[in-house]
Amino acid sequence: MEDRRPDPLGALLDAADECGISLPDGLLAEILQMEAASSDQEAARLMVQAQLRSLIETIARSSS
Amino acid sequence: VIITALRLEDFGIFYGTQAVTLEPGLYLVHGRNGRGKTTLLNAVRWALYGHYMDRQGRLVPGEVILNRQARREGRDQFSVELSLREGSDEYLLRRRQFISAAGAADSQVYMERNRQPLPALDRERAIQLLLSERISQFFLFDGEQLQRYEALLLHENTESHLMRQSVEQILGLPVLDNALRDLGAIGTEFNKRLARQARQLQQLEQLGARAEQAQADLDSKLADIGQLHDQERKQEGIIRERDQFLQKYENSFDQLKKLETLDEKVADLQEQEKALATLLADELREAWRDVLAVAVEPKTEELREKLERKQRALATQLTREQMEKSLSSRRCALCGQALDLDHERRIMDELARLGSAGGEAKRDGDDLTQLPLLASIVRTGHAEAAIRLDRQMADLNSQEVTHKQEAARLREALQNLPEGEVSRAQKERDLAHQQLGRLRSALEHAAREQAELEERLRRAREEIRRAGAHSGPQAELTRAIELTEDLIRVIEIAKGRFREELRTSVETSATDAFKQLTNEPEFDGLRINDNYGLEIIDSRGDIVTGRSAGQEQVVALSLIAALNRNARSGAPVIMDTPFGRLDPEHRSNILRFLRHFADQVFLLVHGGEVSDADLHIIAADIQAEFELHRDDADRTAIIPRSRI
Repeated sequence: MEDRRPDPLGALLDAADECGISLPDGLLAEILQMEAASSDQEAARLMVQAQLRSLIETIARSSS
Repeated sequence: VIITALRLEDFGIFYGTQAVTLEPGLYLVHGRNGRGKTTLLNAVRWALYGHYMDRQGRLVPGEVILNRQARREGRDQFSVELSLREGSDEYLLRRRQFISAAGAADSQVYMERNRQPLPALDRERAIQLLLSERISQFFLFDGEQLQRYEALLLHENTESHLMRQSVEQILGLPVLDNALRDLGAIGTEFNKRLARQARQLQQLEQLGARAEQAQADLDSKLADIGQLHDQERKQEGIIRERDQFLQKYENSFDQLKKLETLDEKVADLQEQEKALATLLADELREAWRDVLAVAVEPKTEELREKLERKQRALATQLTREQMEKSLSSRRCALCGQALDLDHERRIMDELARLGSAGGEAKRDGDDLTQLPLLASIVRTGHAEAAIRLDRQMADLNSQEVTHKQEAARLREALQNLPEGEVSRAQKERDLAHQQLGRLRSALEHAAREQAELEERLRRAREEIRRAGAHSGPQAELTRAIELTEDLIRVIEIAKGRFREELRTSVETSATDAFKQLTNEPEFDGLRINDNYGLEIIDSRGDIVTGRSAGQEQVVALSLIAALNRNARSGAPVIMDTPFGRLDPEHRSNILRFLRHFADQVFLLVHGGEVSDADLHIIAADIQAEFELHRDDADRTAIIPRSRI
């Protein structure tokens, strides 16, 4: 059987295009990577949220 | 993920240390019933998740898991050690349980990644990422319970809802769900911060207060909703647990209903018999006449004939006397006219004829006095009616005996039915359904309130943003919020699209697997529904209904193969008794297909499940075979098959 798994990043990039939203390069891939390494546990979630918040703040700051 | 080693110590039926090293590929573990195939599957589950459930879903306590021979020899602990490999990372997971003399259990878990010990938090996270318990049902499973995946065909059902969540977790959809949840939390935090900052500015104070209040109201509402969801899950758990319990007694319920029906029939028959007995008694009161009439009728007839004869004789005698009187007086005794010679001659001729025809009536009338009494005894039909009623009663009585025998057999079969527990479970389930209904209604109401509060908050934030858009930290926060909201929009759209792509991909992979597994040329493929349930489609494009247990198993295996193919990360597949409901042809198809299931597959089979011909089919794919060898009732060992 041919191995063609649906790609979440492809779906995200298509959705951004469809909405006309311009996002920094690599941001969506980075978010996916963070989430993929996470789990349902509260502590793990908080850690990912802190990383994600910091990333967004950095982007917001750099664009001022 | 693959398992590179498994080591058991005094776990269940496995005595002492049993260790095997493993590679990717297909493994066959042979064992007759009771040799520990299911225990081996449970050992892997216990190492990963720390609990051991029996086939009925009941938790098995530690003191029962500890090998009995080991316990007799004074040992007080058992353990399972799993070595796993994921990509370039090597994991070691060891779970050990100590049993005190009083039976109390104390467990220890140790895990390392690349020889570095993992703290508790990372350990649980690593296990979740390697093979979380929720999705393990698609990797570590009992072949005889595959039909539970039928639940996916239902749209509104607690079981199907949980299964769908598990499927989506395998496929990696929670990555987007979690991103949405995290971004939502981050957005909320940014907005709270913005509201706080705004409040510090005089001109924004009012707006900030309004936003903070709206946020506080929303937080409170979300907490309420969270509690409602907790209660909902609790009630769903109760329903699931009670359903599982009651399922075991379904057959008994049917028997119980049948018993009630039989008891009603017996009571009905007894009523009918009682009514017939009354009628019979009435008939019997008159039936003696019929019995006697049979004996009396010939005698009555005889007497009647005698009477007639006697009457005729008397009439003749009277005539003769009158004629003699007429002859002696030469005058007619009836009219008094004188007789001429011709008359006298005719009278004498007549007398001569009467003398030869009759004679004097005999004096034997004494028995004729019985005639009135005997003539009154005639047939009335009561005896025949009594016989008919008696036959009907015998028939009813025969039916009653048959029903009573059947009822006695059912009573004996039902004597072990724990009626109290069953009745309690039914009441608890009904109560849980009622509470669930109330909770869902409350949740709908709360969801409407949540939407109103979110709208209020959105308006308040919008006003703050407009007011603070061009001032220092507010501007930065505003940009962060806008970016967060953009990301949420993108992910929400992508999520729907990704879910649709996954469903299509699972359908394609499952159909591909199904066509290789099924031997029915009429079947064209599988069609997926919103819950990832799979319908069989025939060559006319119609849904096949009334699937057999074997077809159900083939569909379930097709789903599992498709999920493994589309999974975010693969995992070993361990199938216990995989061929239970399958005919030899399907079994061969599955064996041929095994290498497509996963990188590492374990089949736990009993003697009757695979033949030498089957083994020949997959000989090239088999990495190794093991035998579960029993030394005695409490000592089973895992032995490479070539050593037997």
